[in-house]
Amino acid sequence: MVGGQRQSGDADRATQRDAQRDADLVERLKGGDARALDELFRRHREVAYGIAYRLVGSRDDALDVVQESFIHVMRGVHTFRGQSSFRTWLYRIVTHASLDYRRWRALRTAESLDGESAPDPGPDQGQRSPQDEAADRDLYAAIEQALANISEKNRAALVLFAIEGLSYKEIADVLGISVGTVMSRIFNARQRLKELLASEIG
Amino acid sequence: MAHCEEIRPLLGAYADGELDPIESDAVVTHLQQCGRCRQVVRDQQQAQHVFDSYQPPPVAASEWASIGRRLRAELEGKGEPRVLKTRSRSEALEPTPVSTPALRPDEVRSARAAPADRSEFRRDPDLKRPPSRPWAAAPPAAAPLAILRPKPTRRHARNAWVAHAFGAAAAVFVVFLGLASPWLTPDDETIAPIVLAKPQDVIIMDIQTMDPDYNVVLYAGDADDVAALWVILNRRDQG
Repeated sequence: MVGGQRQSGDADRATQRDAQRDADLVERLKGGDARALDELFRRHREVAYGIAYRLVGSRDDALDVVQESFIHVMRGVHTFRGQSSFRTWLYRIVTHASLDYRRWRALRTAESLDGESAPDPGPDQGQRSPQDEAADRDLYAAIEQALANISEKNRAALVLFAIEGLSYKEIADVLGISVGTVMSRIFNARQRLKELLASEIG
Repeated sequence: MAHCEEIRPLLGAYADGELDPIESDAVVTHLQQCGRCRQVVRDQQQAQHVFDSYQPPPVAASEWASIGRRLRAELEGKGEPRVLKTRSRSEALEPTPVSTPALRPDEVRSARAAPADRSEFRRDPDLKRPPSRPWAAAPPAAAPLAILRPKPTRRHARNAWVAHAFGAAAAVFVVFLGLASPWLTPDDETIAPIVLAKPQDVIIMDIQTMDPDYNVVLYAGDADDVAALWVILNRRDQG
């Protein structure tokens, strides 16, 4: 128990150090420091990509969302006053950008139904090995299909919870809703996911 | 024991270890006696486990580097004009929890003490942006305080006495009307008698006996849109 408390305390201190480092970098970015931008991008790009991928369901689209999200960060950084952590702010931008992108993609797909530009066939497997692809393809497709049938709001809450270290409180801050609403959205999303994947996961 | 309907909304947070001790104890007590809710907890854990397996494919370092270069070019104003597919909306602005004051005391102090010059955030002047985008222009010097605690402008303060004077005059006039109303009402005011429909104007549409021991009520049809109601005492009461 004592070990657990020590670990928790260490994690809190590490989180505080990360937040302070982010705040310093944001201040430098406000001054137009390109190296600060590089470091912020390097520190947060993977998590931002994880959120975007789970919301848009495509590797290339997710990378596009990450790039646009950091452009929004650069353009809006002077409005950032540090009332929330940079991480919370960035996740909020990425979440909304991903939902925007999904709508844009849906519109574009609808406009190109003549087959000239085929819709994204699903998750791009990128550099995964053929064995991994074969093993995951069915489940990936099933999860992707199921996620498409979960409401945007519930899906966003579930995706943010999948980000390691993001608590219900932080999700509430990112989405601008109460903790109770986060609770019900995650619960409903998982109940729906279980229902939709009943044949795959029993 | 709490009902399932009360416990059910907490089960997801219970599975995630997000409940406070009191709520968690209530859930544990309920789960010891409720198989259906135990199954819901298992479903929640299983669904989360499946979702956790939905991992994004890796991105090569060269791709990250390429995006990083494009971002740097954008920051330095050297990037190609870009039409974004996503919007920067008010929702995407910095989250402000309701319970959090607009500015912390140290922020207020620093904002007051900070130099007004924000020109350190230089951008390429050739990088034109539509004026409707709020991030295009640097905020004015005292923007944080001015936005969060707007003070009336000098013009408003100067003209405030006019509004006060007008309001006071209106209040005095209303009180005067109230006090003088007995004298202001004309004495010869008469109330016109109610014009009753003549028998030939009325068509009897329905007759109902509401209570045979006492009264007979006739519902008469309308004449010129006026409904008439007749109440006739029965013979026993009259006797």
